[in-house]
Amino acid sequence: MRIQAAIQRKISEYLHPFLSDDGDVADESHATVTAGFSRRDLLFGGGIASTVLGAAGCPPLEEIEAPEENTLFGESDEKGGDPALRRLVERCNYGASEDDLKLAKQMGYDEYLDYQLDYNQIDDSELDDRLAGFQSLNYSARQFALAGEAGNWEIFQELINATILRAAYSKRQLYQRMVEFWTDHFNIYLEKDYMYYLKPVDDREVVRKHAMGKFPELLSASAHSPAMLVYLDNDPSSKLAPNQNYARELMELHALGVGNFTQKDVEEVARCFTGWSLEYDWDSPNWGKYKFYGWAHDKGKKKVLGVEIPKKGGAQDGQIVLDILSLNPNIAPICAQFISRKMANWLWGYNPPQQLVESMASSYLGSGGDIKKMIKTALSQEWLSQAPLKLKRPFHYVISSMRVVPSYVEEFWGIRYSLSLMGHEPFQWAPPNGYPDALAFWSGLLLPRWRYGSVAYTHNYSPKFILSRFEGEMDPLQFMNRLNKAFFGGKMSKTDRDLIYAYVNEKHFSEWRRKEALGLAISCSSFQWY
Amino acid sequence: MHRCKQTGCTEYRHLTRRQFIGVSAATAAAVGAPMWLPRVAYAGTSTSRDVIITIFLRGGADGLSLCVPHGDDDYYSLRPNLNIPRPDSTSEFACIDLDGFFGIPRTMRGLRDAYNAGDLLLVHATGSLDESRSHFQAMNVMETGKPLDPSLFTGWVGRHLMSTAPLNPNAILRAIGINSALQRSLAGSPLALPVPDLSNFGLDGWEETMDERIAVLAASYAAGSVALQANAANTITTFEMLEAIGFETYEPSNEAQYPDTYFGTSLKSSAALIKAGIGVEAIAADLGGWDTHAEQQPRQGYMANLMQELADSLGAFHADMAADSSKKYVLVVMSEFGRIAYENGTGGTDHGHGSTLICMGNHIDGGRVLANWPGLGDDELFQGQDLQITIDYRDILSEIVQNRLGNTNLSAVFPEYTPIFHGVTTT
Repeated sequence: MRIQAAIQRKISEYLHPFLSDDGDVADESHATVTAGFSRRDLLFGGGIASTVLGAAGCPPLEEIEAPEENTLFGESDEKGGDPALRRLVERCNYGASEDDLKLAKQMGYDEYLDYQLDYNQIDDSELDDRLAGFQSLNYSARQFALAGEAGNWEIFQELINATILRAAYSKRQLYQRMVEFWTDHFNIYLEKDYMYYLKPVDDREVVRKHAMGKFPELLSASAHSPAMLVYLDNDPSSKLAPNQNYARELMELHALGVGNFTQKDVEEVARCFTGWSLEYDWDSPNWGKYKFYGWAHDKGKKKVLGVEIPKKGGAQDGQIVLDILSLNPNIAPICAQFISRKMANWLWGYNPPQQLVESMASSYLGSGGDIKKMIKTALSQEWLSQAPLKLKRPFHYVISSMRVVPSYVEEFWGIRYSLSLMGHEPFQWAPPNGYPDALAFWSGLLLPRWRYGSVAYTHNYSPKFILSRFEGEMDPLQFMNRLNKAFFGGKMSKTDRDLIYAYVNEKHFSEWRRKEALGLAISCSSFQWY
Repeated sequence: MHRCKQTGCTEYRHLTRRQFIGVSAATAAAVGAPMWLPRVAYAGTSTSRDVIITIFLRGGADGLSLCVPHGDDDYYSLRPNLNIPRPDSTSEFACIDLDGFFGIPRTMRGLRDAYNAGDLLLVHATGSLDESRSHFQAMNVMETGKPLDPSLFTGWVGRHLMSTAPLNPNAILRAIGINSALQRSLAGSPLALPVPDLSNFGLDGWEETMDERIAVLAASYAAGSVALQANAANTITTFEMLEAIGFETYEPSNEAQYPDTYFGTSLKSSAALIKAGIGVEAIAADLGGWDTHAEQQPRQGYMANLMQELADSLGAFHADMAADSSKKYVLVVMSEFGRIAYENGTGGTDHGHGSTLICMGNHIDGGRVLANWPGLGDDELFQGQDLQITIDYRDILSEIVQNRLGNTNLSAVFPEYTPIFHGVTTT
């Protein structure tokens, strides 16, 4: 395993050169951007007075309210239709594109929510086409390890890259949003030893398999996941040396929340999971898969959260614990509340009302932890119509920029570099609590969002955008209407609209300047919310 | 400059970028030169307060490895494999003795010069009294500075800055968190911003339109959601300021060698920032990776490397800052908890209680280990397994806040706590 660990470290260096200490690649990427500019500069000569922001000849602002906008949701509401339906589309999608809004309007509230929940019925062949070149999506841990030994490091890019593509281009958007939620809930840090072999399997077999399934099954799948067992140090845990890391985080982060168990419970749960590990025998075809080592298991009597677990148990002791946490009539209500609050924070908004949490917990308890039923409660029209705006986390922000205009990805480095500057590259959160879902955490670092916006559409490299809609003959007003429709569904804030309109109107209405305006559109205040 | 009075084009667009963001001409001029060069202080500013640098060792750092109680035999019986050998041992990993009872591992020899200069103080058997053993709760308690109070969001440094006037009335920024998100200890601070990389904090795109684009963003956020307003305004002023400082070309004094790591670079940039004298009063940085449940390797390998990175960075910072004694700082290193006193069977240690805290600065009464050693015997351990806490970390921080940060309003910084001073600062 040690050799494999060394290979993993190499993979890691290879994959994250811009995070390495010398920063060479970061500089290079920067240089590319700058070089892009120099060429562009020639087109403009010295004709632009750079600091004068005055504008001449702005037409009356009322004209921006052109008829083609604000009609998406019908005439019933001048402000742009049914606000609850719009909020639903925003909550279900990484950025509500015009197509998403149209579809939702056709279907209506309940039908659209059911459509998103019944995700398996949504044709996702367009995404499948985009993923066609990926080799490792069905790899076992052993296949990854073999690829690492063979120096085939390219495939280790695929987990993060596929995550980006799926979020951006899957039609099963609510499902992808739930995948992100559970990826944080059951966080695993990709840079820990072996994770480049183990996490892709966890992503596929735990998170994606159960993201809209039943919570007890998801919890159990995670507990059996070699990636989780290694990440939280359960793999070497034995009766002589029980390790408490997984036991603690299982209760604190995965199922109950702090304060709902004691240190004694941690010790007892750790004993129950002794022997839960993975196949270490390299000659075995099962290398890197879950394996229970009976000799390492503590077979004594245990008591977890008041429930006795009889002696002479085996692998089932761990499963008994999982069932206590997620299904036991005395404990599951705590679990249901804990999961509901967190899910409500994700789907509904920050600091969800206790009544909503209770309502979702009832959905959990009445259905054996059916995640779809909980979502349905959180996103019901009754609740969502009162939901506050949420700040897009950086991943959401970048993906939304790729969804509001047609886009594709040839090179991933630019997207990933931007995400890493924003502190939000997938699977790069080291502690087990996952990237926070909190306004105060993300509201400080705005600059990398602006940096991304300042080159995304003008340089058009990673990701790539199809911007034909904003090119060619049109006047600034038409341009603004198109921008407003595409990026904001016709609901751009007046301030931002005025600002960007002035930006394209006051000087050359060149294609370059229009693309700068698109970058400003995603950088401005109102685009950060959903 | 054009005007378009009837069209609703608003006032912001008639302002230049600098006017808009409200940077005074004096400040704007001041940030134009390499800022670590000696400069005349701003009129009316006080230099009597130290800049505070808080370093958080995320994950629960094992204080028994950071500062080794080699004079306590119980240490060696609780840690038969994971110990740092006695100083008189023939082992190549023998610790460096400090006072006949405590020592530091050889990998931390980078601290020696600062220690011998009397600028570095180690405090042992200290920490916060939180008993949750949860990283997240323990960090919250430690960084907010008050035992669990869900209604309290602000951090102790944040409240210190809230309750004092700016050191420099023209300060663009009073606190920087070297991270992609602001550390909890800084929460609530006026003029605070997370800056992940001080040397790389600016807008991209075509230079010619830069000012126009910045003005659009400034106006957009000024009129947008309150939740982002202040951060956006601070961001814009900050990147102008940081750009002027020129971190890329900064040369440390005394040929100080910072480790070429994120943490090492963070301290190097911090030194440049303090020397620039632009009014930043608090800096927070983090070093993660201390959650050593398995394969801790305190002598050689994982944790040994981490300790070396910490010690070499602090040592370089000390050497760098020693060149100019007028730049006063106080640096504090802490962690949310220590680790269980006995090793587990997987070559590591689980979440514990008491740990070690490090203070460094021009006015730290250092060159010693401050401890009221509780012992590591069976009946001396906290909950039968951990190093007890005999000095509340708030005692140390309170003394620093009062004596070195010039803030006597300790009840604002550490509510509902009466500290006991231990003489950790000098005048």
